[in-house]
Amino acid sequence: MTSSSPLAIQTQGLTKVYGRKAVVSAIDLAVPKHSIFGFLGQNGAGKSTTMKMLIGAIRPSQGEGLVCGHDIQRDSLAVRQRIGYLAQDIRFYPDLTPRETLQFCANFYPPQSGKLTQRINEVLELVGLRDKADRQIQGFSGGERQRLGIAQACIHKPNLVILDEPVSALDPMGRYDVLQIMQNLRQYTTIFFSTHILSDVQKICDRVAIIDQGILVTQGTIESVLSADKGIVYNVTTKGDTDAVQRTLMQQPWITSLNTRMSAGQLHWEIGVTDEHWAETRLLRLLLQEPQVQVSQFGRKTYQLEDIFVNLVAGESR
Amino acid sequence: MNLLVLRVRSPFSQQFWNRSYFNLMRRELRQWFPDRRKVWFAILTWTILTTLISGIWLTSDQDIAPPPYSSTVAGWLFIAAMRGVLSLQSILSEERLTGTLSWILSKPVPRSAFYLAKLNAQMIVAFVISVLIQGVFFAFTRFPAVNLGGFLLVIVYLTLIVWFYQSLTMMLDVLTTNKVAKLGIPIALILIGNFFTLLDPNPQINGITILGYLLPWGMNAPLVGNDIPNVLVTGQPLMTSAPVIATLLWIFLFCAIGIHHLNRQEL
Repeated sequence: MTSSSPLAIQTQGLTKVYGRKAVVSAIDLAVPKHSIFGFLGQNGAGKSTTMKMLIGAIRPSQGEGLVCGHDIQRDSLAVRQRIGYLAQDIRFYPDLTPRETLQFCANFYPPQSGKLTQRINEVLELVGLRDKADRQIQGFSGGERQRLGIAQACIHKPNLVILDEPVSALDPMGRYDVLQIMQNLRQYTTIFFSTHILSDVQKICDRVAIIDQGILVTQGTIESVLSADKGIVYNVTTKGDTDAVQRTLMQQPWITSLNTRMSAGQLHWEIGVTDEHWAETRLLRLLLQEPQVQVSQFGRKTYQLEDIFVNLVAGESR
Repeated sequence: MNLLVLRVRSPFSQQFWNRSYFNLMRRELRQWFPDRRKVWFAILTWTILTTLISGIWLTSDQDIAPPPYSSTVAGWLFIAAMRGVLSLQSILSEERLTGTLSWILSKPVPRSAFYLAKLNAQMIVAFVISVLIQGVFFAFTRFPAVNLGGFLLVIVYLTLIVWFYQSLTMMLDVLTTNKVAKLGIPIALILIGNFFTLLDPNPQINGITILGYLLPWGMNAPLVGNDIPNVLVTGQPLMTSAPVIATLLWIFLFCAIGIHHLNRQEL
C-alpha cells in the first residue's frame, strides 16, 4: 500500500529530549516527493537525531511523523522497507565485497522483478564501483565506502533516500562524484540529505530546511529561502560627489534602505527597494542625474545560501 | 491536523521477520564456515584442544578416583561452554561499536530477528564444533563401551548446557558494557558447575541441592543424582529431568530479556 500524499516526509512537533536538553524541538518538516531536500545545520544542530527518528533508530520524545505515508513509530518496518539510508559514518562487514554487500542488503527486501545480479550491476555502475565489485571492502577509501553506502541505500529502488552527511568527510573529487550520483538519482527517487556544506546544497537542492540548536529556523524552496526577509537589494558603485544624489534617493518612497561604504576611492551602495520595476526603470536614472556622479557598477544583489545561513543561525544564537 | 489520520497502515508481516532472520543467519554461519578448509581447521583445533584438556583433567584427577568418564565429560563440557561464552561475549556490542548494528537495523529488520539469528547461528556452530564432532570422536575412541542411545542423549544434554551459557552471555552483552560482568558471570557459573561434578554422589548440602534442580549443573552433577557419564554407558536417561526443563526455561527467559532490552535501545 502506498501513500497518495504529495509529501515523502511529514513531521509534526517532532521532538527529542535527552535528560533536560531538547536536541530536536518540535520540528515540522515537509519534504515533497521527487525533490532533493537539503537539511542544513551546524555540527550538533540535531540533523542526525532527526534522521534517526525518521528511520526508527531512536524514539521521539514527542510529536509524530510520516515517511512515505507510514508512521515512524508504529510502522517503522514499513518505513524502512520504503527508504534507503546512509549513516554519517557508515560501516560494512569488511570481509565482504561490494557485490556481496549489495546481495546481502537486497535479501532484506521483497524480491523485485528482474534479476538481482542485473540490479546489482546497475547500482554498481551508477556509483562507479563496477571495477571494484569483487574486492574486499576493508581496503576501500572513504569516498569508495560512501559510494557503496549510496549503492546499498538504492539497491531496492526506494521511494526515498535519506543520506546523513554524505559528502562531509570527502575530498573535493569524492564530493563531486557523490553529488553527481545524487543528481543521477533524482529521476528515480526523493533525496533528503543533511550537510553543513552550503555550496553543495545550492548546487543540487530544490528545497532546504535549516536547523539550529534543534529548532527549525526556516524551510522552503531555495529561491524563497534566499530572498526571505531580505527584500530586493541593488548594489551600486559610484565615484564623485554623491551628497545630492543621496538626498534625492532618500526621498523616494519605494526605497526602503540605503547603506554606503567607502572603499578604494569608490562608494559602494546597498539600496533596498520595494519594487523591482521601479528600481530598474528609475534608480539608475536618479543616480546619473548628477553630472559629478559616475556609476561604475550597477546590479541586483544575489544572495548566497551561506549569507542566509549565517544570518539565520547567528540571529538565532543572539 | 493529526498526522495519524493520514498514515497508511501496514500490518506486521511474518515475511519481514523470516527474510531478515535467514539472511542474517546465513551471514553469521558463513563467517564460521566460509570454505571447506576453514571448517576442517576449526574442527581440528577444537578437537585437539578438547582432547588435550580432557586428558589433562583425567590425569590430575587420579588421586580422587573419579568415576568412569566423568572427568573427560567435564573437560569436554568445560571447553564447549567456554568456547560458547567467548564467542558470544561481545557479538552485539562489537556490532554496535563498529556501526554495523545501526546499518543492519536501518533495513526492514525486526530486532528480535537480528538477535535470534545471531544467537541461533552461534548455537549451531557450538553444537557442530564443540559437541557433535567431539562427541563422535569421544564415542569412537571408547567404542564399544559407549551405548548409542546414551550417546545421543548425552549430546542433547551437553548441547542444552552449552546453549544455556551462550544465551546467558548474549543477554549480558545486551544488558551491560562491562566486560568483567559479561565474561565473569558465565565463567563463574561454568567453574562452579564443574566443581559440583567432583562431589560424591548424592551429597547432602542444604540449600545447594535445590540449585541442581534449577540450573543446568544438575544434569552433570551428583547434586540431584544425575550423572551424564552414566547415561553414556548405560543408555538410561537422567534420574530427574527437572534440570533439563529448567535449562530450557532459562534459555527462553534469557532470550526474552535480551530481545526486550535490544528493542528499547537507541542506536
